[in-house]
Amino acid sequence: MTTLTPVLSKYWDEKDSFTIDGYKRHGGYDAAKKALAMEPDAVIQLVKDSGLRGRGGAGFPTGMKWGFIPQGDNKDHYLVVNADESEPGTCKDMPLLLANPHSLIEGMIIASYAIRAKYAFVYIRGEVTHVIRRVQQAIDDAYKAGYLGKSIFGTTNDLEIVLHVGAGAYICGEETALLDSLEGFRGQPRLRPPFPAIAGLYARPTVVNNVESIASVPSILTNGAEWFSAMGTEKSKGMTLYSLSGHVTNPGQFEAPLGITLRELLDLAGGVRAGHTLKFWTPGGSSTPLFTSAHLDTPLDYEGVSAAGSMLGTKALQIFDDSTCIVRAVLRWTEFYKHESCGKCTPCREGTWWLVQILRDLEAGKGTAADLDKLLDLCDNIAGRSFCALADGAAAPIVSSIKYFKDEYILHMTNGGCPFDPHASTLFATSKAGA
Amino acid sequence: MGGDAIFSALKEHLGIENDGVTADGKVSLEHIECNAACDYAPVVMANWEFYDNQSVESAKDLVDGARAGNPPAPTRGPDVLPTWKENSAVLAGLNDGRALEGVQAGGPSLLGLEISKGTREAAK
Repeated sequence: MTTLTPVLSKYWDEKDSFTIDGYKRHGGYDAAKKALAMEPDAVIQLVKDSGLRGRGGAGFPTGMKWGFIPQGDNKDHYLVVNADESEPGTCKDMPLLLANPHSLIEGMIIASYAIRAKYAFVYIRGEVTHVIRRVQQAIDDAYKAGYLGKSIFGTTNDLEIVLHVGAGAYICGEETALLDSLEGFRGQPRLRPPFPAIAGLYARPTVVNNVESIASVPSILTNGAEWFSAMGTEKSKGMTLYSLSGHVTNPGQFEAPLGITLRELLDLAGGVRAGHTLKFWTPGGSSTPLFTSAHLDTPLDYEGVSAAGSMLGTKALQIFDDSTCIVRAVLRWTEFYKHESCGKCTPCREGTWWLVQILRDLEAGKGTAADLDKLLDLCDNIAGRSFCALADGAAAPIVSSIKYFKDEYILHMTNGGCPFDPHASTLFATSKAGA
Repeated sequence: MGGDAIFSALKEHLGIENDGVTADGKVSLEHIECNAACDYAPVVMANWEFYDNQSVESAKDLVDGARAGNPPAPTRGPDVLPTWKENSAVLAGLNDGRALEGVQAGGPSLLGLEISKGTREAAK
């Protein structure tokens, strides 16, 4: 049995966990002081040694990303934090920022120092007003304390942090679209190369990191690379937030070493809701190919999930029980991708529109066997044929659901409609009060 | 989970469709895709504040209260639901001084932590 390891979430149960006083009570900002006394390259090496990999989905080694920033180039460097969390299922960064925004600010101070950036940005989604308040207040308080601004912590280093509120587009979580949006343009992905490390924000060397990745950095400075890499598996080091949602008895956040299994997490969450069995689940949000009960013991680390045919993504485990219609669930996700497609690339813009039409027909029992082939053919022409991964994400639930549940798609055709009662999958079906 | 049921009930209750506004101009309704709160599903947002773990009844109470000028408080947000105008200013970058209000974290956010500390048992 894997033991939970709350590090990021360790003090979330204290009423003032989000204040600067609450954060400093447990050694907050000591890690930043420690980092500023080191050589910047030594900080990068420490993060490399820890094995920290990006927590936003791709799992790229964080220290290596920092190391790509050219030094001595007489150009401004920028750190940009991606807080545009908006993938269906993903819900880790917003609670983190609500409960402990200072861990992000401190991580940003350390990361900016390491890559020699004097300006850093937080790009946050605009639909979470209270989270925005907390982050803005944390930045304001850090300025007042002398941790941000000129000569931070009494050293010769300067750092300005700007909070930028997005306008509610999933595409802006894609790092190059995020940079375009931050520059004031419409958020659409850029062609790479050049990569952001060479020409990112305002065409300057830029590191774009996820909230959780940056918020993990202070703990590495405090406890050391060995402490961090002692957690997790061979190539997936450290602790991370797993978010369980959907048809589980108790949904919520579980901070555990990488490599824990869904079976272990479900035990902690009280299992699939009473009277039902597990049907399918996403390991890392809606854009990661579906898993079934056959994958309960798959280690949830970057390699384990990938070897089983999906992606660890954001570790957003959405659980669906036997009351859920697969076609309906996939249709909802596909409607999301259609709505959020930025329209830059034709396969994604047109393709997601067609996918929705076909899935609606299939759900209504008006589909044919040829429609299934057409869906797969469309997915084949969408995934990998666009600038960014939104298109791949749109295809993933469709392809994987047909792989595991083709019979259920066919049942919609032979049945002349959906064989499921949508009400049975709601929470109200088992509890009248709605919780 | 129930989002579809709540959304269709609100459309009927308010007599408007997605992206519609009631005749008195008090309530507008929009289908949202994701608000990074799946562990609190179903969630309704009012003026971009969280109303977690909603039901058809509680969502109707929310819009009725909002129309009467007496909405219930957000579950993870300020003590009183700010107006849309007030929240627009926050989104534009003005600090309204309400960051200290509201809980630091809701129940689901604390689940793993409390189990690891032994203050809460893993449910069976």
